[in-house]
Amino acid sequence: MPKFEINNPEALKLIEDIKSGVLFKPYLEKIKKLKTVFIGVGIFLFFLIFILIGKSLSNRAKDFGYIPPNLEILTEPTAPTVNSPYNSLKEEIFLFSTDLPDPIIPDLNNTIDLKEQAF
Amino acid sequence: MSFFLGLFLFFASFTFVSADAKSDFDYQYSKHRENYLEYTLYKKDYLSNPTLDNQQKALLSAKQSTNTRELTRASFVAYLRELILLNQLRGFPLADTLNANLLAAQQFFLMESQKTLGVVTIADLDKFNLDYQTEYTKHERYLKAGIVGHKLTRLKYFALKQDEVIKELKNKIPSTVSVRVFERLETLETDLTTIHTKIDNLSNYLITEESMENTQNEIFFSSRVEFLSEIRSLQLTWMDKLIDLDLNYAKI
Repeated sequence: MPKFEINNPEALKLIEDIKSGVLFKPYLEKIKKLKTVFIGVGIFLFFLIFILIGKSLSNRAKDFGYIPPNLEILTEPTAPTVNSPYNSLKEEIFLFSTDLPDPIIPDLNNTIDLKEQAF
Repeated sequence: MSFFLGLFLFFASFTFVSADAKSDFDYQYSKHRENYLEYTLYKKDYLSNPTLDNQQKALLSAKQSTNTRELTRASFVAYLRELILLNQLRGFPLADTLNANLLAAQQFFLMESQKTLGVVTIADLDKFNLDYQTEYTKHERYLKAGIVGHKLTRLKYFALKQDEVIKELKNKIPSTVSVRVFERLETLETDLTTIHTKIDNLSNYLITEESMENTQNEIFFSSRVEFLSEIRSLQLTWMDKLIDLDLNYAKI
């Protein structure tokens, strides 16, 4: 295999700049100026990634098996309820009002005259 | 189809009659309230400025107000009679007596409303008022007794329904049940007799002269509420016991 040699002066200069780091210097200067912004975005992305991971994990957890109900919750028995035909009479008696007077007697003035009221 | 339509109209007629008497009473009462308000204003004008013109206006409004007052009373009594008749207790002494007394009261109030049409002068109005006070008290008693009686007839209606249901239940309970169940049925029958007795005693007392005198007392209504509540409470307890037997022992 023939040996590969670079003879182009511009290419040699570029290689030299890469090796010494001069080529990257302007870019590093710009990055240094925006350091705070990059740190902020980095922190935001850090939390976002972990929130997404946590959400993904909790969604998967919902699918894990049977979760028993709280002990305070009582389940109703499934036996069918039977109604007595006499419930309607009982309800009629229950709804009947024993208040008096009912109906209320209209409040009417028995003395409609043109005399002065004596106080 | 025509059978069911006829049946519907038959039952609807009871509510229609009651709604008609009630709506007539509401109409008469609202008319009287308007006339009475007008009378108070014209009377005030006449007393502060007794001109002939003011006197005539005040007299006319007093006459109209008295007329509508009597029509209001007559329509109220008619409404009360309908409520009692709805319980369908013809032949029950209290219902018959109440109906007769209330009919007399209704006729009295209608006659008085006719008399007001003959009032022309202030002297006529004063004479009318004097005569009215004498007769009114008797009919007011009928009215108050009627209000208590209407509740009693309703409780009697329930008690008669209870007579029917216990007969029904006895036919539904098989003879193979324990003796204890039959004892419970007998207790129910005894309790129902007690309920009937309480209603009948209060009903018989209500139409006595002594009770009619008591209608003038302030506590007339409040003292009767206790008795009515006690009877209703007994009826509800009785129904609970009957329903318990029905659900546990009656064959469907």
